[in-house]
Amino acid sequence: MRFTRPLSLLTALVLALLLLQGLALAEQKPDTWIADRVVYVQAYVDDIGNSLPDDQLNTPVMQELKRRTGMQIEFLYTPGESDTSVMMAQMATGNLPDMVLSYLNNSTRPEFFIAVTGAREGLFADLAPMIKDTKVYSKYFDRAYLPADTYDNITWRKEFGGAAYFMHLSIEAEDTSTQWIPSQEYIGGMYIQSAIAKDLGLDVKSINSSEKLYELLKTIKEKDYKDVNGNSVIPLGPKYWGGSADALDYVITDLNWGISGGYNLTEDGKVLHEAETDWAMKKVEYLQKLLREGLMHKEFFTIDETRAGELAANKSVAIIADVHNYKEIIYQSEDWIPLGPISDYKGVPGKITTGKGGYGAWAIPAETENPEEIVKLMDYLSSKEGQMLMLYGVEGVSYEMKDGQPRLKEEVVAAIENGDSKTLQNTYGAAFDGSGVYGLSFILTDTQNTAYFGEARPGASSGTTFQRAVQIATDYPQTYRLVPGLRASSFLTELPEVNAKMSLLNYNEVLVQAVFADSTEKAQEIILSFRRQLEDAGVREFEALIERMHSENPDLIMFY
Amino acid sequence: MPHRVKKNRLGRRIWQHRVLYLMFLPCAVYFILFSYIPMGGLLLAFKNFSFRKGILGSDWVGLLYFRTFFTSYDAPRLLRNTLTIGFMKTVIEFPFPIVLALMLNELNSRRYKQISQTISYLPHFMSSVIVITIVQRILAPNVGVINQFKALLGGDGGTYYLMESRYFLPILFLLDIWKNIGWDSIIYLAAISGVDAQLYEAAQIDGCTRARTMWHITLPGIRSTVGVLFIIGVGGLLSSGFEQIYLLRTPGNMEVADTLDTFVVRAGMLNGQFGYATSIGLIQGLVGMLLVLGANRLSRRLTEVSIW
Repeated sequence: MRFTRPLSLLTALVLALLLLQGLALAEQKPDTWIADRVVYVQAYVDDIGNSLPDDQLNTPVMQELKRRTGMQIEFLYTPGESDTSVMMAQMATGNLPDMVLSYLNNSTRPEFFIAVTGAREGLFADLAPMIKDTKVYSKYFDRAYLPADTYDNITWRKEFGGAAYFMHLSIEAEDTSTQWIPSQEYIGGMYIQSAIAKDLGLDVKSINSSEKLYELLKTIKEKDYKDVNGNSVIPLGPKYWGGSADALDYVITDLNWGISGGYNLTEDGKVLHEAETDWAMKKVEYLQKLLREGLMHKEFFTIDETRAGELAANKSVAIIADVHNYKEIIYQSEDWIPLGPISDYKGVPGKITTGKGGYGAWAIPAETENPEEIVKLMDYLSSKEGQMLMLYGVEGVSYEMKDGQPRLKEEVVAAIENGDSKTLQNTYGAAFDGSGVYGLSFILTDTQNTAYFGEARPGASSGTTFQRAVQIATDYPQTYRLVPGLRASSFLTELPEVNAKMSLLNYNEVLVQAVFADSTEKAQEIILSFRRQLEDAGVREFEALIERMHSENPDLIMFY
Repeated sequence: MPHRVKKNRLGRRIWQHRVLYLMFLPCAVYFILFSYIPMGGLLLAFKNFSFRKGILGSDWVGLLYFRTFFTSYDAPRLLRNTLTIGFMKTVIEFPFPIVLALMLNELNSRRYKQISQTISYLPHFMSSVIVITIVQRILAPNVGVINQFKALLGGDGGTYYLMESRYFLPILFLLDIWKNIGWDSIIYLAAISGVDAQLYEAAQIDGCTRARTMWHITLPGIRSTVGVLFIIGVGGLLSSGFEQIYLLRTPGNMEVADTLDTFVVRAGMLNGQFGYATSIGLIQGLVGMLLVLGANRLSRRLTEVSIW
């Protein structure tokens, strides 16, 4: 009994101390604190899946994010399957984690059609009330801030009556879509060996039509240039990433009448698919001519990526049909320069842009607990501090502040220049210019690198890696042509039964099939057969719908 | 009471052969899990699948998908291609492993036989992706081995075999034979080893040549195995297989290479039309089952060989 009183006092003292310590700890939580939680994000983007740190939660960036917000992100990725298949399987089985993330440049992507079906069936949470009081995402309520496609077809789809299930990502704070900014430009399309261009005294910009290209290919063939192994150079090679009909967009731009997902307006205002016009055979005959005369690589449409890369590396082709200035083969030497570009089917030059755009999208499954915490986290990540952490990493670890701007440390710049992605991912854990943890740059929006950090991308002002890429963009500027609206094909979803049949048809495949036909008659037969398939699928009904929509709002659908 | 006795007997018998039943258990579990339970998914062929409602809760659409398929422009072409490839794989390729097994059986050198068998089995274990990549390189225009050889002999070395539909079936045939002939011959070799040795001795005493022994003893000895495998194989007539065809397809050979199996993947996995894809899969399954039933009945009547 003698000890009861002092013991009670001691206990009370200990409890008081513990309470004070707890309060002190609580006070240490920064203002940016959200919740103690790991958010599991399923990425339907292979670039994310292939650039993850070995231990995602223990990188300096994730530790710092935890210190600031209490939250961390772990990306989940299913390799070896197409992202669309994984998305569909997970939605069908209800096996969705806290958040999903998908590639989405515009609302016409096939995976978005699947995601919208899920949203209609209540698979995703309505984010509209949760973004109301956020700093960044509240801007999404502003029609002028979002691209038209984002506003009308992705985030604020009319059918959802004010609910928002998808947040489009990588929306630029300022619309620079019609400005040519060399430090940010990707110049995709044809590239010619600079030695051949020099030998021919060629003005590469003068090749602005498929006929001029044909003459150039013939000249190259006649000159019989040799590759590094002493074999004859093939004038026109495939796309750098492997054979594909996509490259035709750059090679025969002036024969591409169906600029709106295969459709366009005739002079008398009728909507038709390109296969229903003479343009289809014009394309086929031109390509047959190139193949027949040995001006084009026979595996232009089908070659695998490795062999396509070998063709370029060995200079076995005079022209790469499609590559861009941020591929090593282009920016690491002065061996290749842009060719063209070819004008459109009316002979008008210019790079078409539909205005401001986005690049990815995220959604939260309806079953996820406390979705508002994830929304707060996503909002924080897109703030200036959040973006700096995601892109540059932790101060002192991967960058230092100079004149109020983050500048990457020399060793980080060296790692970027040497392509040492593993070090960037595991030692520093930030996205940097995309060669680190790519997913961390993918989940940002309201991007404004130059305004926030004084450079187009991390390391751009100190590194020399991409100097040549920027130089190419400076030396070969292009003008943008703003054409508002979406591709006609994006409205196929308005007619579900027609869409179900149409989505199984592949016009490009049919074109290639016709190109390789034994005779012109056989090629025509193939095109005619495709027309019948279109008719069977309901193309007339769809064309009538597009005509009606276009007459009601000429800016809705991209026609030119 | 008799029922109880019978039950006890069954229990006793199971206990008596418990080791065999234990060995059978994983097999039974496998088939229940991966063959029987998924059959429930066939309901999708009659439903408009909803992510939220699942297979059972989704709305019924009756025979909509079947009508859509049979009235579609693609159906005749898909059926024709599938049947052609199915016939090639099931009927034309069928005798090749038997011939190989007979040939291997005639080899006197044990070592040479083992080496030959091992070499013939190997392709079966190679991934189709690797095999097709090799084939693509062998057949590539100008730089492929075949074309270079042709050019060496003064021919045109620029033939793009994979882009021309007339070469598709021969390529697929040779590839399939090369990949499966060794593996498929195993079962025939096993059957041959079960033929009574005394019959061979008797034939030798009677002065039979090796060819006659093969014709009159070996082949009749494995007749039931051949019959059973053929009956089972007939079920695959409407299934062309997926991997090889999918990988060998190019826009140029699509006219003959687009089959029900590739269409199912395109419609189901790539376009999310689960119901439509399931209905086509169901047609394939039903036709396969009817063919097996028919072939079994015919075989029982004509040759007395049948599965049941």
